[in-house]
Amino acid sequence: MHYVVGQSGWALGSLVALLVILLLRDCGQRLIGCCEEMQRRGFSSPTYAMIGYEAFGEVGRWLVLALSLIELWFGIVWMNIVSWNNCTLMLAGYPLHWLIFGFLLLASATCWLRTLQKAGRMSILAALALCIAVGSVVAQLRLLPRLSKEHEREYSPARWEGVGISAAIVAAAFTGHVALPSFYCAMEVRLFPAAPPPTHTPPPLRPLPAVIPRHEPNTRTRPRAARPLLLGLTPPRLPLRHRSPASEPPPERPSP
Amino acid sequence: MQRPGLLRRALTWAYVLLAVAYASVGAVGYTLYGVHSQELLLMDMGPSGGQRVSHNTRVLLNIMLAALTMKALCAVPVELLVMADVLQRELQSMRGIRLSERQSLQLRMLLWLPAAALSLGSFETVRTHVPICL
Repeated sequence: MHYVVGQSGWALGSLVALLVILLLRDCGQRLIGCCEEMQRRGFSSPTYAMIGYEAFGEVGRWLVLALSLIELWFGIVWMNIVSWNNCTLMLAGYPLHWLIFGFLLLASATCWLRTLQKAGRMSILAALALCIAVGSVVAQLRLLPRLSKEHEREYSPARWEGVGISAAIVAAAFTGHVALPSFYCAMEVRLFPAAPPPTHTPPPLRPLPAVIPRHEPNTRTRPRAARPLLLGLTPPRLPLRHRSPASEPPPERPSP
Repeated sequence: MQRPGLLRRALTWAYVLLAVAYASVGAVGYTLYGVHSQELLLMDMGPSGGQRVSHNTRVLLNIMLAALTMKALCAVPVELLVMADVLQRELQSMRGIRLSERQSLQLRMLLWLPAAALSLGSFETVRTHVPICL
């Protein structure tokens, strides 16, 4: 992150970082909002691709699916390479192939983690590791007097040529939105319980009234027109549930 | 977490905590090295930064490296699980196919093994061309 500030200056770099973070946070909130909206409309487990479908149709579904899979898959590749490289730096005297073999074994064992809840416990370790790393960096401040004697440092409030690379680095550090729909669906208690599957058993027969009333459309119970979710696409029609006889209004009696 | 309604708040707090962590690192690194810093703080702090490195600094650098390695290692199963989850949910929503526990494990292995093979194949090339500490 110091490279971000160094490239675009301490004032401009901080501003760029703040703007990118706020933008990405807003994207995350909107994604969660989409999940809530879809669940409110009866989708039991909204996915990232479904949100793409609602936004851009069939093309959106495949585009989102492909991009999210590519991002995640290359994320795994990159994390492997980073782990192995760090290991070669830490344990320089040990043979590289054994280090890689050990890491492959450790990472392969995690394939047996079955739920995101279990993987979430592992991420507590990651958060702890991040705290240690930040603490180690802050502890380097003790070098400041010595470095001041050795080098003449330069500070700048704004360097416009580095804005692009700074924004890209901050965006890469705060990304991970592809996992949000999965996290949302992994929650145990749903905000909006999904509609039960439609049953094919007919409703119980009731005796017909003596005089059959004239059929009039009941506007009170007519289903409302489906609202478009994101960009004007009409959501699929949900199966109607049978009304219980207790909640049904009594049939109108004809006036004498 | 058991209440999805709290996910929004959790996301905001995660962003705040990460921003504080990154801001601390950014402020310390910028104070120490100014505008001529390298891409990675470890490169600035280590012997490659053109400075004398004391024993304590070496210990701190190794702690930092170990912590970052642990973070990277923990990211692998989370990404793998999310990837398998995305695929399973799409299979279920589009084709109505629900994978069993065994099939789910096979899917995760199917995703993991090519990723590990590509990492092995490209490791030497990447590390000679890109500064890759995290």
